[in-house]
Amino acid sequence: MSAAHPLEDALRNPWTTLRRGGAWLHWYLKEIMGENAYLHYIESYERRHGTREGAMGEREFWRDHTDEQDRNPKARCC
Amino acid sequence: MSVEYVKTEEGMPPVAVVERPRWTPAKIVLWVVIALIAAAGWTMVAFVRGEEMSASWFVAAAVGSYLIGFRFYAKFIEWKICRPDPKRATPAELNDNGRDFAPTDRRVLFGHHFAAISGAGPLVGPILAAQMGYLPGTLWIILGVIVAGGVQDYMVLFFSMRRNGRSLGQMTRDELGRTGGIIASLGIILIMVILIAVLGVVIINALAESPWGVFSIAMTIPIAVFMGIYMRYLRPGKVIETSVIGIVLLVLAIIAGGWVHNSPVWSEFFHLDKVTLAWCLMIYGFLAAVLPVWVLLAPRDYLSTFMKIGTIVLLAVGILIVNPSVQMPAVTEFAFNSAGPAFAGALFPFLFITIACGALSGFHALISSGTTPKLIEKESQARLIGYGGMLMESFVAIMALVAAICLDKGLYFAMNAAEPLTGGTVQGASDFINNTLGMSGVETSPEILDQAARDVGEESIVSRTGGAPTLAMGMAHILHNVFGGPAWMSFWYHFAVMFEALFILTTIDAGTRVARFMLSDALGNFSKRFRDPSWTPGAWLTTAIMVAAWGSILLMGVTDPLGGINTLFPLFGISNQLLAAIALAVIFAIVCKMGLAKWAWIPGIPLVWDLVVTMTASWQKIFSSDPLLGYWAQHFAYKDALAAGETSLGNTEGVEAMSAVVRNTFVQGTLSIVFALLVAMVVVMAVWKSIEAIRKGSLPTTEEPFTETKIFAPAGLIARKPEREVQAQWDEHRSAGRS
Repeated sequence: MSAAHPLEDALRNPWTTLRRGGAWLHWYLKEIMGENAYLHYIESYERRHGTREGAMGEREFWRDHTDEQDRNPKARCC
Repeated sequence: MSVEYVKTEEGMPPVAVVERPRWTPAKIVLWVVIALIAAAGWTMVAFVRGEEMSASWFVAAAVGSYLIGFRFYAKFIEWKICRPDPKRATPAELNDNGRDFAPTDRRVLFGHHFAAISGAGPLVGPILAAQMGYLPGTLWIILGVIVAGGVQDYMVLFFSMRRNGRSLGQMTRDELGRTGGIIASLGIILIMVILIAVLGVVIINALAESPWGVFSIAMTIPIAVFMGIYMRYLRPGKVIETSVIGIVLLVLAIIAGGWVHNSPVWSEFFHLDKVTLAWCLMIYGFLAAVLPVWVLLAPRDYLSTFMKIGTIVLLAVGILIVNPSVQMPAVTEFAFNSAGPAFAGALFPFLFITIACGALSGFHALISSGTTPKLIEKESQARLIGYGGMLMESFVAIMALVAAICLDKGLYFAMNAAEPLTGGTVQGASDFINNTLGMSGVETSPEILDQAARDVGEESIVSRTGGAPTLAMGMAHILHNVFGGPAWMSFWYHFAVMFEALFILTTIDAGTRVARFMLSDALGNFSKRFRDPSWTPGAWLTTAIMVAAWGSILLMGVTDPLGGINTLFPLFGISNQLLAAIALAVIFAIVCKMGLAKWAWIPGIPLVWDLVVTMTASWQKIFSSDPLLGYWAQHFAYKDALAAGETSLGNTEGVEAMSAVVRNTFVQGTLSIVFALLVAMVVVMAVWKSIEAIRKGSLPTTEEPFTETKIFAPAGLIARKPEREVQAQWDEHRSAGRS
């Protein structure tokens, strides 16, 4: 692990910084839009059960994930 | 700098890093520079007159003030009242189910929370308030968010987080008793109905008699259904891919709208009046609320989020690059009289009603309780998400204000004066502005107004009230300078209308659904079957009741002979701010119950201010003898005129229109009374509890018992160096556990 300030690293290698920035933006967009929901579900399932066995498959999860909004609607603000 | 590593379990890495930063010279310089930037912005905005002022000073004043508010005032509240405990587990950690309870990265949650609280509100209010000039609006948006809006959002979020993420209604019941809870819930339902109706009026005003707009918005329905099927059956989970396809189709729909506009047959077909559109909206709202969410609501929500982020970034970039100069004066005469054409009422109290979202918005309390608190990883992050998220919304409001005040004044008033004043024609509008408006330095001509309409691909832009068209016009003026040139103005105008319509339709969909659930919950007290959301007749019946409730107000608004926005928008603002009063009163009572009465002024100041403003506004709306202002004064003036056999009064022609005014003002006047009474009761109960708490020193609150945390997450937006080191220890620990 580097102990240098991240700004120092960033300035030393601008191309890597740009690539990392792009990757970060992609990650952030995916998170904000909810694309990583299945990933988080699996991680959470593993935390709780100690295994991935018995967790929903991806297709099943997405179906249930959307239908959950039918059962539990969330308000959007003005 | 002293650094303390907090551990809860032996042999595990720390769960938090508590830093006690010292003031180093570099930091002092940094904050002095930020303060100077804010001061320079404020000096230009508040004092410098008579020169061309550029929009970037507004950005400087806003951003500088936000940083100071966040670093000093929000931190002060954190210290004195909230006191986040680094050892305490949050509901997200304790009840983690990978769903509504799930520890979520703070940066991501910030985005989600912001997307949930911000909608059309912060865009519309500042535009209407621009009729008073730029200074009153700017002052209220920036100071209001620091002292009121941010405080409410942050504290509601924090207290709900300490109570397992309970909703505002439940918290009111727990803290103030059963009666208080019932009254608050009733108030919340009523306020949602008004809110949906007024947002409906806003969007109908932008779409009526606009074939281009109606076509492109109508296309969002098949686009959403396509996205829904795509995601359900073809590519489940591909959210971004689906959204990108949706956006591309959306842009195509906007471009195709131009062809519709130019085709005589199709433009006739999509040329709809306000009443037809209101019925379309009601049918749509009903279907969206009873159909499975995957068909319409979920894909629209993805589109809306995508557009929200994209457009706000676009507008910010546009304002910074174009740096337009301000046309509106600092303060106009409409700040002091009730003759303003966009909405009636003087600066006090109506500025603070008109700009609700962006400075203080009670509706946020419904997101800050119930939804977001179930997702926070660490108590210390509540300040960033609650207070910080509200600062972002305030910034959106400032950008909307800038878009409006940089428009030509004649154009602004022609768009925002209600139809009875302008007659809906360019000649009538320019006569009104040049002769009747009574504001010096504002003039226009029929040619200018015709050209402005042609530029954006509309038949007319006269009396396009409600704020949304003005914002679209402002955005088109700014964005065409950066992207595409004058030929693209009509594209940007309809792009802006489209994204506002998306926001509003999403709010209407989701709001109707939530209101339906609230109603079936209430009806469940009488008949148990209503509690089961999969019971179709119950779902249809409750949805129909809710749609009928907002639909009747919507119809009333779009057919109002006095112009729906200027009579209904105050009711929208009042109800939103009254909801804030309920939230602030509950917070106030909790602070007193915690034995922190010494610091109760922190929620107390915004509570008192909000009550003074809303109660004065309600009082004027109920009792004012000025028919421009008071609903009942209007009601009786028209009733008397009808009784005397007259067939016109003021700008209202005909017995039918006059009877409509009598009916509308009765409904509006009654609603004002009901709202004010409901809120007054909740506030009295809160004060009662607070006095009891102060007498006894403190009272037991309903905080959940303490449980130790076992996870780590950085406290602020940017992880500090010791936090990055601890994060590395956790990563190492985890990979060691796996191998």
